[in-house]
Amino acid sequence: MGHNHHHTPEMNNKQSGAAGVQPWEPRTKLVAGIIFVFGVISLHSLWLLGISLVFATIFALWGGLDAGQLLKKLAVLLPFLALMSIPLVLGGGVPPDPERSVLAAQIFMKALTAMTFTIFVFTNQPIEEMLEALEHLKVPAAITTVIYLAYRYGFLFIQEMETTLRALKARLFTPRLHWSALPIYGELAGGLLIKSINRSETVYRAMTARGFRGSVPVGKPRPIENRDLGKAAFPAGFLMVLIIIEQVVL
Amino acid sequence: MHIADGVLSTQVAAVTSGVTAAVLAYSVKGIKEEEIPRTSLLAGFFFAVSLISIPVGPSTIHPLFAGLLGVILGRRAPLALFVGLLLQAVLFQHGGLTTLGANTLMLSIPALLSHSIYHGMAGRQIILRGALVGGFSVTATVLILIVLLVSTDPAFTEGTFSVINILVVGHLPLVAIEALVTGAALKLIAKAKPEILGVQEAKASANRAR
Repeated sequence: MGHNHHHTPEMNNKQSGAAGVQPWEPRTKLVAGIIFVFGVISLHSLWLLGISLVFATIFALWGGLDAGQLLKKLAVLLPFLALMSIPLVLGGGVPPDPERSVLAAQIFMKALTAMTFTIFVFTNQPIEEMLEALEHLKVPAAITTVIYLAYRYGFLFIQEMETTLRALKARLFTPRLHWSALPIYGELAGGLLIKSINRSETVYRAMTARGFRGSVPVGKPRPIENRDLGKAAFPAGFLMVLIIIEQVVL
Repeated sequence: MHIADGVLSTQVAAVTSGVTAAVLAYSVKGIKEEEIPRTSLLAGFFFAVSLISIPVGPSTIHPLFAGLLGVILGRRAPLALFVGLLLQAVLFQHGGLTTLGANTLMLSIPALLSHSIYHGMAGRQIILRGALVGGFSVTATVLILIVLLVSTDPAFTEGTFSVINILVVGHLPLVAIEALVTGAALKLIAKAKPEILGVQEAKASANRAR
């Protein structure tokens, strides 16, 4: 169980209201984030990818993201990237083919840059504001409601799993891969689902009694101001310049 | 089993995002108010189980449960998988925004097929049907992942210790694990709360009880 990177909704909310580019209207922030990450993965030059990584890091820190938190979150990516890079670099034999090394380096840089900006967009903003932004961007209410409820249920599941695991350990069950243990995992998953579905039905009845009609109500969107557009244009424009440099100059 | 940002080419990321948008539209279309809590719950379940790590040699793997979600949710499964993957990407850095479409697609297709396979074999033993869809969903997911990687760059296939060979070998135990776990989970659900699995299952369970 990944205890090291658990968040609670409350922890996420603590990140709001930081200095720098905050507060930033969530719709423009989200759109700028999507343009930036898709722009980054279209780059190929390692130099330009390096520049975009430096830009994303500075921009995120200026936006109020804590450096320690950013590093901790990015560290989750490193084992995956290492596992991907080693066979890519050495797969063609020794000495490594320079082209394969470049491909591995590109993936490494793209992943770190895109994730840095994603962490900035989502961690540095209460999730509720982001969901409201999605709804105001005309994402169907069914999707935003499922995201909202799944976010809440997800943390309940994590707590439930931890409690179950503690209870099993207290009964001398060792979580490991053994064929005899697999049906136990299956029954645990099934039991967890049944318990949770029962609970969701109770919650649903309570929600309908309080007027739930298939969507969580959202407030009126905050008007988009020129400074919000400016903040969005800065990273998006920066990436566009890098793409143009790569296409035209390099 | 999450593709990170940067692994797929822009073209593959764009196409898979577009196809996923269409699959998501199909999944959301006609959704009833009362289906939302269950879909959300399964999305939350999928989001949370990615944190379960089962030790395999020096590394760990985690269950996918695409088959289980497919059997329970049917056409709503892509919506639940999309939301679970989105939350995993933004909160736990598993996956990424540019690969959200690819990750959703490679789990949604096996989930939708699992629903047809499981309910198409009504009358057979539940544990066998569950094990079949559990194993099938992991196999189909790995196959789609291979197609996406090959479409991005042939370098992923080159060499004895290529990324794809490592992926296949690494996921072989998961096929068996997921088969056994899904089979056991569906057997328990069919016994304790068969209405979760649909009307046919509930009727069969009532007949067995008589």
